[in-house]
Amino acid sequence: MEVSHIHELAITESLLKIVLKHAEDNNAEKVVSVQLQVGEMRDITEEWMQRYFDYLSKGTMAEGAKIMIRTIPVTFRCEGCAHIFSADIRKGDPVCPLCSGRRGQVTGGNEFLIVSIGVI
Amino acid sequence: MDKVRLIDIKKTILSDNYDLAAEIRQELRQNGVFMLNIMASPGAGKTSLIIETLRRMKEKYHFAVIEGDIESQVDAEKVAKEGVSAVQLRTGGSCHLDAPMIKEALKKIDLSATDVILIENIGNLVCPADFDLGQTRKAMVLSVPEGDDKALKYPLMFSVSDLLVVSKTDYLEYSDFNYEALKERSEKLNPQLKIIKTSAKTGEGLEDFCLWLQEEIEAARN
Repeated sequence: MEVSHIHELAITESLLKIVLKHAEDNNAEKVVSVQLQVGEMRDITEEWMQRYFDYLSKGTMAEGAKIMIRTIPVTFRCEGCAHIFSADIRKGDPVCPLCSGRRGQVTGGNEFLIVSIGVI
Repeated sequence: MDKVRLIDIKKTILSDNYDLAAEIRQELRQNGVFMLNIMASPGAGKTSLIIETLRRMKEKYHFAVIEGDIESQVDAEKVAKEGVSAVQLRTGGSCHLDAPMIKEALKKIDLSATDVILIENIGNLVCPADFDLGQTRKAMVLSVPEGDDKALKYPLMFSVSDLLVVSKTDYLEYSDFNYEALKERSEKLNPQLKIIKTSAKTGEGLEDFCLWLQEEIEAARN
């Protein structure tokens, strides 16, 4: 797996813009938290996102806000028995735990959402 | 201590990029231009695919190429040698192209005199998958030497692409690359994904790719 965290930088820039806009629109004084939903497929590291956010948000009302990422696992629907299961795709081909089926389709894991912000 | 209020947002993190990409897509549609975003690892054969395509199709359609390769003029020069105009983006240390960069590049392309734009994205299978460029279709190139397990390692790229070009098939006989395994893995991630096998060396599949492209160009025109 290639480890490059420039990825999070561009994404965090975009995130901060949206956060500040919504905070201003709601007459907030300070942003204390940012709640995200991110699918496992997105390759986002919370630690790096926080680090970039801390750097980029200096001097803004979002300075010091905590990034909280809810990671959504990659899930599949088994073609044989329709069971939905999560699997760590990077460890190998997903196999249905109920019927051992190897065919199926992805049903989740590429989410990329700002759910809410906590403000004062 | 002041009470914390929770403000609902429910917006995609890259919504700014997405909005601009939608604008670009609209502009292309109005001009009947087809734009292909080509993504791959460095060295997978993006440039070769582009050059071979230009050789076969440049008499029939008006092409433009947007080159995103980092700090390099080499690829744009190869394209220019084919007599096709190339816009070289200077992307610095960026790991992907985004919609604002494409918007800038399009200012240098006369859309009314163009049928098709090929974008050579930055060599990387992770970041480009996140960024919508306003393209009509996304293609990814995976070369045989990279291995059939890449769908497991870079699932997002496989799930967002419309076309998978398996390049360097002339290496198949020397490797344990399992095409059927790749196909099965890709279909799991993306049942709509079309797959074309190519080799710039033997010429295998290049006609198939050009046919696919031609159908897409014609569909964008109408």
